[in-house]
Amino acid sequence: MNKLRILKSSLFSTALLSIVILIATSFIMVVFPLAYYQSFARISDDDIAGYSEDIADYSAVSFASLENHQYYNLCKTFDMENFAGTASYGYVEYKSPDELDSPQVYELLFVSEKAANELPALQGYNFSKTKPKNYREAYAPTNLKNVYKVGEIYTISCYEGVYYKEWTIKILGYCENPYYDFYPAYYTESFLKDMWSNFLIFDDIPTYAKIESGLMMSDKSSEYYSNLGAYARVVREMNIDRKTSEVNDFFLYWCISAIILIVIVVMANYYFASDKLIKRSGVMYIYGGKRSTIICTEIVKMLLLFFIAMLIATMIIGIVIAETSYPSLSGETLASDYVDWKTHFTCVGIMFAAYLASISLGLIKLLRFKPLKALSNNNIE
Amino acid sequence: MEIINLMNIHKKYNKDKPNEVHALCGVDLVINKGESVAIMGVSGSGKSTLLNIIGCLDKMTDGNYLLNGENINTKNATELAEIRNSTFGFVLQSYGLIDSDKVVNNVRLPLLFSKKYKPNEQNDHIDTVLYRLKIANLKNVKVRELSGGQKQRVAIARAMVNDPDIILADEPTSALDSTTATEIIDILKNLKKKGKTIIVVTHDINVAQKMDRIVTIIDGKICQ
Repeated sequence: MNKLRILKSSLFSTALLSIVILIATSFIMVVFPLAYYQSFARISDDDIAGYSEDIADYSAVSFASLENHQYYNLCKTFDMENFAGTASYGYVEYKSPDELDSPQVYELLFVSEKAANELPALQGYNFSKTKPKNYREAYAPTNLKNVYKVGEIYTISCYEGVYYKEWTIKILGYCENPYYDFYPAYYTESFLKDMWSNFLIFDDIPTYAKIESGLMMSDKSSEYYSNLGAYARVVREMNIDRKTSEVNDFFLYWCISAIILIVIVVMANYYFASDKLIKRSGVMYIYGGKRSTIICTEIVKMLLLFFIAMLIATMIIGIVIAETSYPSLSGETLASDYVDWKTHFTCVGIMFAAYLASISLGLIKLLRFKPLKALSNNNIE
Repeated sequence: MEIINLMNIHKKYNKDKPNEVHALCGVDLVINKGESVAIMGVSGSGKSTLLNIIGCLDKMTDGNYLLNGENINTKNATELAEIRNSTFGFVLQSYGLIDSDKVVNNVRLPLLFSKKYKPNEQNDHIDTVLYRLKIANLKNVKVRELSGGQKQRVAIARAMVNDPDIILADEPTSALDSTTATEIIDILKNLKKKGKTIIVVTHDINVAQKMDRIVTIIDGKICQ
């Protein structure tokens, strides 16, 4: 109890310095992992998920910027016979009898001929080269295993009126694995996407199906598709960019500069503050403090400040991770474009070393204090 | 009744080194409970060293020291710390206050280690001590804003806040004008009237003459 009171008294006696150390350390422990993650942790020699040399020279194309990106309209401008990807044609609803909430919605995605026959095979999907005569091959949403049985044939429909369409599908399996989803973003980690809430049907793309993006498996250049109004990038270039251009050293350099600055500021402040600490320790000694207790209290105080700063930083980083992370393709872990826990705790370790370095001079000065000498210089202030 | 009994005390600094200093050479001194004693001597005569040994701040090289009949030589660091806290109140040369702290925080310092006052009693007790020394209005003022006389009152408040038996004062009036010095001596005399033992190290014969007894120390030896 006494030791807690001594600690509290010590904290209050250096309140301003403690607050400055706390704020500076917390701030840098938030900023540093963000910069570190952008510069080091995200660097990978791995290819974009779904990348292969077989598709490297084709262009990933986005039609999203076009006013009308329904299939029939795209056919007027683009060589859609070379399109490898999926087209969306509405949704179907299913309501489980034991669910009180609104029904679940499942999207109907139509796999193009090129995608089914010429893209490298993916685990869990195996469409026939030719479409069977009486039905279409399909993979059902994983949630609907109880409704759709493998090997059975079902009728599925979508919309009403002129948009009404009906298909007879044979269930080959369920969408438990990711399927191709090409999008020519500046930074792309994957050409694969989780499909667990979709029907994947290998059939002719419906006239009014919408196509956001896909791979054009032709010998035409990405400039060709760009000139037609789409956004296009060559897959190989995307793969190279992913490995190199996302690295942002600029931010890291600023962070390292800030850390060095903070180390110097804390070091200088703590070193000069230690004169006051030594005097105070001398007074505490003559009034009944033990040298070991005084020194241990000061060390505990400084560690406590770092620990509180770490807690603050961890909470903030936790919020960033929670807000920005998304399930990885395997679904087992979370990925983030900004920071992850491993990077955060690596940076906490680095900051702890920097923190120890910055307070070491002042602490060494305090460790060597001699009570009587401290008091003989008691007019320091 | 004797409270302090120093027997053949020796203190050597840098012992067995070429720059060895023999600060105290066989000091014998008995001080009774409730007595006020002035220790006088020129600079370097050993009077501050003697005060530090009496206050258990420094260890003697040789000799015996009985405090309240107990041999100090046998005490470990924890016991000595407890003795310093419970038995002595120190008034340091140049006040020894933390200038950037408030008066109340300076006075509270000895109570951090005290077993005499519970935490919930301490604030009231500090108020009482400050009131007695006529500095209650300065409770929340920072020490750096005080005059020399006010600082010395704060230093005395800190020395007496834990209700010690012995007050040790090292040059308590050296930085004060004569009027303020007289006020401070009166405060110390009042403490003596309340049964406290007062030991004052001073150069000032006027201060020394107001004590019950004057002990002069020359070259580490007492000449009474």
